[in-house]
Amino acid sequence: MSNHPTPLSIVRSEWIKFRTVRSTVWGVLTLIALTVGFGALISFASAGHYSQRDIEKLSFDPVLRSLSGLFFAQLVVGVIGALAITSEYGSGAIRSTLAAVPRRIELILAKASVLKITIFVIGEAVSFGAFSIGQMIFASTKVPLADRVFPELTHVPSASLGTPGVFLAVFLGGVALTLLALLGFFLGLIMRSTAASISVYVVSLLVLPILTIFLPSNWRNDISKFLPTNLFQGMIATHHSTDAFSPWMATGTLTFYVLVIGAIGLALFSRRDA
Amino acid sequence: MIQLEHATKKYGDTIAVHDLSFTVEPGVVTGFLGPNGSGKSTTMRMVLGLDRPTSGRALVNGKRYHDLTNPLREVGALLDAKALHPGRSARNHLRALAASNKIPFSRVDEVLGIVGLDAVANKKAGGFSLGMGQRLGIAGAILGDPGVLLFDEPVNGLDPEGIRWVREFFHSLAAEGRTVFVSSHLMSEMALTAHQLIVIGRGELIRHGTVSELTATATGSVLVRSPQIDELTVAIAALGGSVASHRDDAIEFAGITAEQIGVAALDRGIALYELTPQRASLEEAFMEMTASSVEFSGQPLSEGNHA
Ligand SMILES: Nc1ncnc2c1ncn2[C@@H]1O[C@H](COP(=O)(O)OP(=O)(O)O)[C@@H](O)[C@H]1O
Ligand SMILES: [Mg+2]
Repeated sequence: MSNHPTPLSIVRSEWIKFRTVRSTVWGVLTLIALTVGFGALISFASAGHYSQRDIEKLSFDPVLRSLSGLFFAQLVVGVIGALAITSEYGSGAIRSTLAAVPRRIELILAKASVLKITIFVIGEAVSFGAFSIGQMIFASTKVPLADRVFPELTHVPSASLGTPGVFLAVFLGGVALTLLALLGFFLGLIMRSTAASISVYVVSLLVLPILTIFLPSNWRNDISKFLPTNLFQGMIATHHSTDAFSPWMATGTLTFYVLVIGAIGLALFSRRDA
Repeated sequence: MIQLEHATKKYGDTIAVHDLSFTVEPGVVTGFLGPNGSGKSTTMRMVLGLDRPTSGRALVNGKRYHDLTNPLREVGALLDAKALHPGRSARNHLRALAASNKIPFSRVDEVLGIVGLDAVANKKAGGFSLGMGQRLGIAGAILGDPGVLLFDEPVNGLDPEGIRWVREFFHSLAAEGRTVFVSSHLMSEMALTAHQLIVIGRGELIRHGTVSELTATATGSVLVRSPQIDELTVAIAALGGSVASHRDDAIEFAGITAEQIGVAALDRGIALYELTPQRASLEEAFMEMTASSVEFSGQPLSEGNHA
């Protein structure tokens, strides 16, 4: 075996760094708690209210309800991603990192791989976990006789992974979290400051959708489907509106953002003084 | 071996390092001396490939840092002891570094022992005192058993005990044939630590030589007491000496040796009561060398200047 450093040894080093700081551990715990916990809470609440309004029954989407915790998780993964690089700038550790691994592109790709793999594994686990818990809650909630639209509908409707589109939606929930974590990471790489990169991330997720309200209505839909949160919604949707991208289009567009921001980040990082 | 070849570094309009060339040889401790802001840290960052020279280049063992296959096995550096994640333990910090350069984890425990941090290896580095932080930084520098070592102001924050330990440690590293490059803004420290000295001011090379050479060439003055001061002054001026200071019957001549003065006095029948060479200390030599290059020199507060 050669002693030449390999991308794998850099990944190993970055994995040690990633798992040995408290912010990562807390971030991951928060991610699990929000996705699974909130998902269960919202599923439970909506199952209880299912019988009350007819309009609820018609629009009831058991997949989306069970995955509602993912909307909070979007924020958490961006912060985890940004911190993976900005914490090194904040402390100055980036210098000892670069002294050990001067090949900067390889370093960033290793960091991104660790983040990507971790968030993907956890993201899929929480996405499928929240889905299963939600469906269990729905399937075990009885609908009172008087409220039944159809006589055979004895319980709140639930979805199964076998239903067309459902598996994809739940799977893309984990993929979306991974892409958003990378988006936060590359924003952090460009900005180098924790506060600045988290602000930009939060603004693009939460504030931009609000701003589209002020756009002329014929533009609004064209523009708002390009916003990260709406792409995210498009990825986990099983019912498709004409205003939104299909799951694959949404995935492609979000991936494109990550690649563009990533390319800018890498270009800056390979030129900049550390 | 470390080489700088006409390295220049500009940050916007600030010229941090200007056309700096020197070679740091293995086997001795080389001190890198200069007042604050003279470009020492910038130079070290260029050597480590962290900052890109605006022009010129910096080489380690004849290669650019970026081209070293396993940098930590060839070069170890301590730039800033606080530059690590405060929440990570000392051991994990070193393990992450070791993993990237395929250094076995057993070496991590070894270096923790060498610097005397084994008892706190699992404690968060953020809670370390400045001295412990410096020791951890030194552990990181020697992790890959490198032949070239750079330390930027390593004694800052160390107690006298720690300073002595570091000094002896540097000597032993150099004795093993390694290149040891240590910066400081304190001449007194360098006088005890280094064999070779590279002195810079405002980013430019001022002197390069052994410690004793630099003290010797510093222009010391000679104190003379004589009842025939005026006559002597004329004689010394004729020999190229000048008056450095003058009070009552005592005078200090500069630019001339005590021997020359003694002979000149004998030739002219001038009586001398005292003839004392004023030996320049290394500190004075340093002050003299860098006098024109100190970035921020203290100004005495004049009365009525209450800013
Ligand atoms: N990253 C930077 N950006 C702008 N100016 C810098 C930077 N680093 C150093 N300088 C400037 O370059 C000069 C040399 O600084 P430095 O190398 O830190 O000196 P020293 O280590 O000898 O105290 C100083 O004037 C400093 O303000
Ligand atoms: Mg400095």
